[in-house]
Amino acid sequence: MNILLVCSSGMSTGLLVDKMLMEGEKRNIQDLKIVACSVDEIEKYISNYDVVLVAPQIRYKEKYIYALAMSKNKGYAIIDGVHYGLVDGNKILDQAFGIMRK
Amino acid sequence: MDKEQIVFTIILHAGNARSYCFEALALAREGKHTEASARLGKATQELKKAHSMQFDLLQAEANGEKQEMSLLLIHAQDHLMNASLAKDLIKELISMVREKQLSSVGMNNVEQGE
Repeated sequence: MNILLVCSSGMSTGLLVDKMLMEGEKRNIQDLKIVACSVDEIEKYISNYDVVLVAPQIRYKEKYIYALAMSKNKGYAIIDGVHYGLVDGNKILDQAFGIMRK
Repeated sequence: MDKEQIVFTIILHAGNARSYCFEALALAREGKHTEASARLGKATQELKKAHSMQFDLLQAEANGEKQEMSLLLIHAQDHLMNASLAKDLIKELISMVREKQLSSVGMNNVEQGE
């Protein structure tokens, strides 16, 4: 499964990538690819990913990202604020699997 | 809360504040000023939360507890400053939008209390 994390510069979500990958390793998930990018680069990346997770601090760009994700038939969600604040890779990985499109 | 969580929480609250500000501006442009000002109120609350966490860090440093500087912490500051500026500027923009809307319906004089 390929997960794309989007925030304003790809920096804070970059740290989240490590946490989620660690969690994926613990769960023994094969073929897990997680990448963080800035909202300005999303169009370049989105095609290669199954799921788009958006950091809550760029909620004000939601309309644009949502429309883009839908047009490419990708799973989409805004990361839960509490989980984001706690840098909870575990819960956020759950969220990603929850929105995966079959 | 560890340092990393503090930084993420600052980014979160600052980002929320910025989101609310932009929502407020969009609402004001549609003429929905009551809702716009409610959003600005929420933005203020979120900014307060972010500022209070930043203040705790500053306070700890002032008390001799050396803070580890990280790019991520600087990044959190970026978010906070952005949100702060967004709020002040958007407040002004909303007043301008309101003046324009009022003058376009010929009520400018009423608004200015003349």
